[in-house]
Amino acid sequence: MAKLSRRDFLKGLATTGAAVGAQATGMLTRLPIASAQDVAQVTYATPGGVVEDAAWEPVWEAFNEENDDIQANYLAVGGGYGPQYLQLLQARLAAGTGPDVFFVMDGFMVGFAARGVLVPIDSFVEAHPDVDLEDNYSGHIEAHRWQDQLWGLPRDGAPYATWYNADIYDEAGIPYPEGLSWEEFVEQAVALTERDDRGRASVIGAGRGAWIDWIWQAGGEVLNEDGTECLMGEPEAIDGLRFAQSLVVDHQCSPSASDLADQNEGALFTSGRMASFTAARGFLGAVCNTPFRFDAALPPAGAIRVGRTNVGPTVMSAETPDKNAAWELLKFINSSRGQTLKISTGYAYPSRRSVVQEDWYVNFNCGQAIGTGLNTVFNDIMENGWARTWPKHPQWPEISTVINTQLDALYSGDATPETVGGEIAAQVNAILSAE
Amino acid sequence: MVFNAPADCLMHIQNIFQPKRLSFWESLNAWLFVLPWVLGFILFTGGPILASLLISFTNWDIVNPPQWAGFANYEMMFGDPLFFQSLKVTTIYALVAVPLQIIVGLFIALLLNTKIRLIGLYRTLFYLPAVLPIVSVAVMWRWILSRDWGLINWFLSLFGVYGPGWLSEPEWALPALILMSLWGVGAGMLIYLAGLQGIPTDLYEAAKVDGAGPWASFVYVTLPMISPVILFQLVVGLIAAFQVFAQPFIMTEGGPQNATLFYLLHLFRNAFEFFRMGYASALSWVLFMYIAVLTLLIFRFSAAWVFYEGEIRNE
Repeated sequence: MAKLSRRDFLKGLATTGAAVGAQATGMLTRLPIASAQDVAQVTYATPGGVVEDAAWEPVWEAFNEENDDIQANYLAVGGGYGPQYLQLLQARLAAGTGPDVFFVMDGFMVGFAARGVLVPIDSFVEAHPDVDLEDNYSGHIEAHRWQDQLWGLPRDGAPYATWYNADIYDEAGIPYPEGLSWEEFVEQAVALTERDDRGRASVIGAGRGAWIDWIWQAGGEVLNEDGTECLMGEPEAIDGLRFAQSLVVDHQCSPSASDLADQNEGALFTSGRMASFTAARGFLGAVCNTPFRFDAALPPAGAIRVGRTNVGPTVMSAETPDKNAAWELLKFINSSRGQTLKISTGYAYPSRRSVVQEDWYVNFNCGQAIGTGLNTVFNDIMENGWARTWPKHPQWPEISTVINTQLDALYSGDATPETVGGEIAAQVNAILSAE
Repeated sequence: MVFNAPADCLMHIQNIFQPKRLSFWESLNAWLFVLPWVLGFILFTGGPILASLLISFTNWDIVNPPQWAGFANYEMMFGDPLFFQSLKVTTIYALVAVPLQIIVGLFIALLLNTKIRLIGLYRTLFYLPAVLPIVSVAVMWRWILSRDWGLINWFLSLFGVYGPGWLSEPEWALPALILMSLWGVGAGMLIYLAGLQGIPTDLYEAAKVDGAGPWASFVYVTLPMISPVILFQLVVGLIAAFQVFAQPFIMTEGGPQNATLFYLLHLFRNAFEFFRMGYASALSWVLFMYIAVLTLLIFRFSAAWVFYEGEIRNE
């Protein structure tokens, strides 16, 4: 083998580098410059994933077919539906390479709006009556309104209902749950729960439910109307906390921290270890493949019938160079056609009534579903105004972190509801006053 | 032990390490070779480090221009109970996990420093966990640590002990993560093994002639000879312990009741969930200073217990 001199090695290295550089330059110049002169490029960002990427594909195909002068590009940022997505998204925004239109988790939308990242879209809505906001559930639209301005439109909605395992109920001879009172809910859950003498559960009667549902149902609130004071120390909120604690600590009919350390509520339910729990329509994607019979029903209610609904805010970046093109894309994603294409699997829940009323959606069925609850209850919840969105505050991510940390002590029984409520109020008020 | 090297030997050593003057072309070649690394360091490490220092004196929400805040972010730490909690959690973890990793790693290395059949296989098996992705390891350990169905509690139950909810009870969550940190001792074990194999056998023979048993040989020969390796492991382990993030992020999210709120998790939340990049940068610089001080202290006191075979001491 011939010996390679240092000079030859360096020459080779330089030649290879030059060739790679030339190729890269050529590739870059061949990128969309030619089309960019004629067609506005608009990018939509979302966490993405194998299933989600496939669900969006027909949306872009339809949009690009219908809009000769706009090219919609899909950007799967990654990171999942959590803080890592925000990290990746914000890095792009800070670097000036952010998307034109993007999804942001509803708890974070106001934070983005407050920092001037988003464009309020009221003027676009006024100029385009064809957007037909009335067709959206009002609760889902209101979730995007903050300080009297509209900051985005929903790509879907996610009211929560009770999913139940009909096999477990039948075996126990207990009627299926449907809009139970708190007392009935506890009675059923206790009767369904099976734990051994060490507290290990083979069947858990019911999920914990979202803490905020119990607070609202007891007449409590997290923040006052203008978001300047935390009300978690008030008697109504403490009643809600007391009920939440009783399910886990006193009645042991909802999962303890140890139960949840192994499997989250969704996994407990799909593995047949939990009789019922609350989740959005999107849970169909998981429950359709289970071997047991199931359906969705109206969740329990306390003094007030109310539960939470999530939304999928679609917002426009303040930095987008062509706001009209971005608006067209945003409008299409929210439109009946956009949502129908996106939700073609039937799993997610649309924010538009017209889509919910389409035959294919009304008659949707899958797996071992035993009834029509999964097609009717979510609509009933929205139409009757039984759903609320999470409180809107720029500091909500920090506020919810404080609350969730304190709830650990509530669910373990280490602290009383009064202590937890008071501690949450003190810490959240400190955040609000620092702001 | 003190070496009195003869003067000519000393001269020879000095000649070896005396740098020769390089020609212009030789220097250019050398710089061309290191240029990618230097550029990479300046652009991707040195630059961001300096930038983070500047950012720590500002209020910056990532997407808007930073605003000068002076020392406000540093002052804010004194009123932040979670800063002290995260510092406490991380310090306890480092103080317990690092010595434990050193002891277990060294113990395994001693066991594997023998000439028996299939020793290569055993070494590979003990090293294997160190190369597994942290996410899959974390998921696996969640099951191992399960209160109801976990391997550890099943083992304890054989002795009539009902194990705790390792990850769900505040008093056990941090010990559980410390226990889990032993999973990766294979990497340290490999370095100890290299150190052990570098010890001249004549030292053991001399010790045996002097009547030393296995324990005395370990204490008076093995330990001094691998003390530089232990120092290295101590410093590197300490730095790694203060940078633990993935395990609590995946397994406990800092809970229950902030029992596993590690420093970097607190920093991450402030940066990317609460949009306080200035405060997060200040937190990172305080952590850097904290680690630097601890490392300097370790080096300061290392002279008392670290032995360098080739070291020439002037007494």
